[in-house]
Amino acid sequence: MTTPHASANRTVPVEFTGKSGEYFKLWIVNLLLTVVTLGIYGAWAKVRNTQYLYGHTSVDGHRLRYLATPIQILKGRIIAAVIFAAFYFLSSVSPELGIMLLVALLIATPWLIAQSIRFSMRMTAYRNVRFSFTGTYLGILINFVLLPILSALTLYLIFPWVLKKMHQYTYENITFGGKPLKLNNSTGHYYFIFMACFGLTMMAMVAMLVVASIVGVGIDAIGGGESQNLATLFSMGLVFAVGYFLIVFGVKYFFQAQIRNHVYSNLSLDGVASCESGVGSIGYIWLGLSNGFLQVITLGLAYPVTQIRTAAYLAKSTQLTIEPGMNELVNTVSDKDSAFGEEAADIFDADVSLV
Amino acid sequence: MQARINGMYMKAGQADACPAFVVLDADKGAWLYHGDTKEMICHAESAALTYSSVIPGLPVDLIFADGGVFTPSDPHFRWPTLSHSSRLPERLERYWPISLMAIVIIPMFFWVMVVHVIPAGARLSVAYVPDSVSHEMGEQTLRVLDEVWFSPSELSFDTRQQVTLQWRQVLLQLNMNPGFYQLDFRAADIGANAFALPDGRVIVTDDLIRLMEGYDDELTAILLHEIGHVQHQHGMQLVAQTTATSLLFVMMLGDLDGAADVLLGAGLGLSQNAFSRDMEREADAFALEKLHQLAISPMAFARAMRLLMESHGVDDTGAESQEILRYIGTHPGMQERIQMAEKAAALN
Repeated sequence: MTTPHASANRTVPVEFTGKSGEYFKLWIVNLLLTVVTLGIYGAWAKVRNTQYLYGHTSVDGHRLRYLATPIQILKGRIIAAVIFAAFYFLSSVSPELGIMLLVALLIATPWLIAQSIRFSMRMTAYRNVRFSFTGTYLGILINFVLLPILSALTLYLIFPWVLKKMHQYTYENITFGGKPLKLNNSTGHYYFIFMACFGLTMMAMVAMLVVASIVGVGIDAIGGGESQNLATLFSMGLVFAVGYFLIVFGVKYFFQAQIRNHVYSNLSLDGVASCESGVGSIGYIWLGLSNGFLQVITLGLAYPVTQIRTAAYLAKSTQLTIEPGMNELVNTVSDKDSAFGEEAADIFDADVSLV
Repeated sequence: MQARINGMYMKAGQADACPAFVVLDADKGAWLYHGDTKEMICHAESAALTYSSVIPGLPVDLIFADGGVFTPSDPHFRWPTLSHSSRLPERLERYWPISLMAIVIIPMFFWVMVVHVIPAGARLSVAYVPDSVSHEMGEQTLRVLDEVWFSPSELSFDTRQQVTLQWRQVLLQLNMNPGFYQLDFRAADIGANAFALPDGRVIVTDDLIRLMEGYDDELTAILLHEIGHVQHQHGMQLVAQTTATSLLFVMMLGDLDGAADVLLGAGLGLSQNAFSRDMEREADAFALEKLHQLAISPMAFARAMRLLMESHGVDDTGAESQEILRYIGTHPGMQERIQMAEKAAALN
């Protein structure tokens, strides 16, 4: 299957075959088992959910694989949970001790972030070869803590550049078969995306004002009187509320789509593969808004459905160009890893989400 | 010869893949052949084989002892050699009735845990918390309160002395340790109020003492309510409870985000308020019982509540809105508490 094409580059789609109904059942049954076992089965649930989503993602006829074992996750999770409980209890008993613990947590955060990314990368395999992450405490501290503080000091004027550095640090420390990824992202384009978001927000606000005044004038024109005034105010208020919601989330999803396209389209592994992302802004905004709506009306039950919808949409918008070097890759990662860092990062909310 | 299972084979730790097929033998061993050349690649006994998880819609990989992986091309193919237990999760996950049951059982289970099991556990476990922890907690809390809310009392020494002596008298009559339930006076902007700390210290605001001037029994009723909290170790109980509940939430819902998170958080907040209402009722009952021992009419408690209500700008006619607030507030409706005291008075 692969050998006949060994000399040529091939551009292939990312395929996602997960189904909403099938995944919903898997998710809810695993949640049920997790709840009735007081969280113990949660480790199995996490592995099975991830294996479903990974396994249904394939490139060039090969599925992604999630290799973490439930026992590995459970061990990490129990240690993290014990620390969390001690932390919570001690800070309730003594506020001073609480502050000291908080400082300790802050100091440990870069380490937790590094461990968390490292674990999830090493548990991910494509074609029998594992990913890994070589980021260090110091690197995370500089890129994820010190640079954001610096950007706050400059009133966020350098924030686009900081975000570029953060992405670059994260992706260029990911290795596959021992080779680091290369992210060729440009500072100028990050500034361009931020400017576009700013322009979009301004335009949307003007549009909202226009709609609100048309509605206001329209209702006014029907007739005068006290109740009419109230109706005018009410409907204009409604336009503002809906408009605000649409602008905040619309711009957020627009931003995410643009950043993802830029990052993935400039991501490559020398001689092995390169990536191309063409997420449509309108489609992605619609996906995000409709997912949010689904979650709200189902009280969160639609969560697995939104995961499937998002994965399918992103897969459809992504392509990989596979180079001959792919076939020569050899795994360099052993499977002895502790899940503690990842689980602790999860519990203390210290994880970083990649785009 | 048995049927061929077609698929793809990758050697241990290598990205290169080749088409292959597997034939199982009678002893559950596997024979692996190259798909194009039909040459045998290897043979493995059943003991040397493992399988990847059985996940709906995904093929189950056959993993050789050296780490080589054979993936069947048919995602629905299930190895006849798989154990029953490894196939069980997938069977449950494919079955709709269980999913529907889960939608009902999950919230019910949470309700039972958060409302019944954890509070009962907290109640039982606080008895084992050493006094030094309660003491430390009381000290630390007062230090923070002093820094944030309180300033030294502006009452005259005589007034304080008089209130303290009266309180000692009450404690002695009730056979309780006056050294433990010490009274502390503080000035604060929060109006007439009293607090009990886990170490037994009772803090009263200057406004409360001024409000209760000439109402000795009423002040006693309020102070008894406060030490009711200490007697039942309510402070420690709340800490144990919120710790256990948060732990339950992170363990169970670690992977959940979005709307469900927010919703559960809100539910948790409301149920916490319900506990503190229960605790207030317990402290009220304690106060009424002790008033009875002191031969003070429970009406004193009712009057104290009225005085407090008036000083905080709520009048009797606010009863209607109190009813609604009862569901979201941390204290039972004042009206309810007054009625309880009056009922106790009628019984005497």
